[in-house]
Amino acid sequence: MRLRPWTETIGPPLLAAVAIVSVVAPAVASPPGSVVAGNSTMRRAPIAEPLPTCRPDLQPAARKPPALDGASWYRLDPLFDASGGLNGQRLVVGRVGRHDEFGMSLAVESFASGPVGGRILVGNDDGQRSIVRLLDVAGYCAAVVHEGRDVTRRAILEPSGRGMVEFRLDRSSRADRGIWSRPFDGSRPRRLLDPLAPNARIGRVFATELSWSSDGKRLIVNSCGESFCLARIFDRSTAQVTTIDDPRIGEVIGLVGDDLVAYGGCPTLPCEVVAMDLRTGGVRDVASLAGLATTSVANGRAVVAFEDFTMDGRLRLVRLDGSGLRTLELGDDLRLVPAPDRALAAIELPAGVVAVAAGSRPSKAGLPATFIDLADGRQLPAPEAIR
Amino acid sequence: MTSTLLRRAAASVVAALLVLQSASLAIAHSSDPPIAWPLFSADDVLQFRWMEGEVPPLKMRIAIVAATADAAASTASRAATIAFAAGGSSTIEYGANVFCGASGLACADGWHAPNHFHVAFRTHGYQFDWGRLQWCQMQTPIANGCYDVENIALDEFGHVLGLGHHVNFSDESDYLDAIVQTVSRARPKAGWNADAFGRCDVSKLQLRYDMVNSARRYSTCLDLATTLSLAVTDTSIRIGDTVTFTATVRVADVAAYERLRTNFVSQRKVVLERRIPGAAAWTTVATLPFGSASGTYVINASPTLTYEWRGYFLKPADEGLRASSSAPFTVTVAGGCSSPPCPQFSMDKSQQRREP
Repeated sequence: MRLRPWTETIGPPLLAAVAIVSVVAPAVASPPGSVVAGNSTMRRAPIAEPLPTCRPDLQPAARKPPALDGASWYRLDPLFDASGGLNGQRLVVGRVGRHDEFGMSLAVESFASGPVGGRILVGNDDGQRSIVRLLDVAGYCAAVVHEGRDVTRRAILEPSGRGMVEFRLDRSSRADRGIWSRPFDGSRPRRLLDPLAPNARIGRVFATELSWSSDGKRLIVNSCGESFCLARIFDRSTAQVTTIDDPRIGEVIGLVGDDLVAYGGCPTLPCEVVAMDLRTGGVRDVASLAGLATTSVANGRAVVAFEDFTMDGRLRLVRLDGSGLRTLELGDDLRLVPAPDRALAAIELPAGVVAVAAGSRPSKAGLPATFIDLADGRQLPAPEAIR
Repeated sequence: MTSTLLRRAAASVVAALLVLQSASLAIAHSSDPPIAWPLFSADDVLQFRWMEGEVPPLKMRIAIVAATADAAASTASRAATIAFAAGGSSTIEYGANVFCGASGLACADGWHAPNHFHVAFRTHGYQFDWGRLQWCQMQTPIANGCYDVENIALDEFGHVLGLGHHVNFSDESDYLDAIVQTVSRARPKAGWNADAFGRCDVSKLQLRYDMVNSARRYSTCLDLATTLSLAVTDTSIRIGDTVTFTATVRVADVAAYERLRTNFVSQRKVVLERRIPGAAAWTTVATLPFGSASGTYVINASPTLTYEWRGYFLKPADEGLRASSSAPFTVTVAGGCSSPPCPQFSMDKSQQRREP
């Protein structure tokens, strides 16, 4: 593992002390925002050291299709206090084929999203203010892109990389403040969607997740109560909002073209996967008993990859009409890496590729997952750097 | 033309609404719906362990184990029991995210039934949009707004055993009829710490797993039709002869009754009735003592007149069974009294006395 310069300067005595701490209290959180040097087990104790500040490249991030070799990834893990209560999250980021991962400890109210163009948005709320940083994984630096009194509950990068879309809550009442677009050039943020009106079907909102359609033209806002969900789709070109308040549509998996792919209204997995044609409202079955699932585009056509529990959890690849492409048997403990909000982790994947990993989350340094080409169902070779 | 279409459309809508209304009335106060995964075996013992590296805090573990006892004490059926064992094949974990998704307090997975199950609890302090999840057992002192681990564990065990979320009335006036609920209640809302399966959880467990024995009570969330058959040892006797009436009560043979169909129903109240042939009204003459065979009620008698006889199973006040009566038949008595007043009925003294 290549050590970063800041660890080289701290010196052996501190590293020895850190090693002792890591054995005695491996799950105790460090101060929010501090950096953790990663290793293959990702258990190294925190070292209070801020990331170097960088000014992120504000040019459009959609520079070129991401390559697997060097693709960025992250995962979030809970940190506990002595009584077993959650008192923070540990963020670890890295790159495929590199052994240079590092980490940060975050507050309980925190999130990560992306990566887009090798960048990860990291939100951290200390109970007084929310701070959102843009992490440049390869550059090993971060820039504060927003600081405010409202709680920034979730944020995702614009596909262009020039700004972010955020979901805000009122700090004292936790009332919904709507979905906002915030450019990074300092211009005023603009509200895209109003606060969600109370909805008896979904009840109190537990989670609001943001994602983009596969072409990046539409924003999906998925609001879920304890058991049921509601989706709002914002078209960036027309500013039109389509609300899907339908018990047949649960947690959203992806939006490909005009097809909203989602779990049915199940409270838990496995569940059926359905596709709703947003033009007609028609809903068709894609899978009957799906575990973790994700969407992608291979050869210009939408593919749903899911764990098929009618086939012992084997990985199935199907078209949106449910027609099967192929069935793959995964190795022991390998599971599909699903959407970031379910995995609390993500890997920046090229189109037409899905990742499978131990425990369904990026896990090992260097090669955090195994990658499968949806076009032919074959496992992609490991990046050159780690072979 | 347009107005006709509108009227027809309106009529259709009204009809549809009526259908929906009646359907919802039928759904409410009915048993929990089934969950989609397979059933565990009746009478099985499902042993679970704490998942390595994701063990709940001690206070939560104690509450979860208490919930296994709650479940065992309140299924009132042959549903599998759940028990902690260090080497158990099922697992309970704390802190999982992938499994539960972005929302929910806890979740269950029973797809590997009848082999094992998996339950996950969200971490104490987990941040939702509405605020932080607080488990009551983790608080000192307990504050309003927390969720009871024992209650939520029982909900998840209900899922494991095959229960879907109860369908409540729109005003939730029947919320306490089930533990297995779509929306959990936090302290101090009624039901927040309920620690036994509700009657509509129990009814579905009974339907899916069967009763422990024929004497156990059926949940009042059920409304099961019953059948009663009455047999007699001889339908043509001479005065002074003794006959034996045997009534048998069973749950009706209806497919929707799942494992309960044709069950014998023992140790309830069945009465023997008679009437003069051709008369309209029936007179109760005795309550039948319990027979030795399941679902049977037996009495010996020495009729002195020719009567029509039937058995009558009274609807119990404390369970979900309907009343039923047997088809009547005549026992002809020859050589009897011809000038009233005549003795009408005498019973075996070893059995129940005639009713006034």
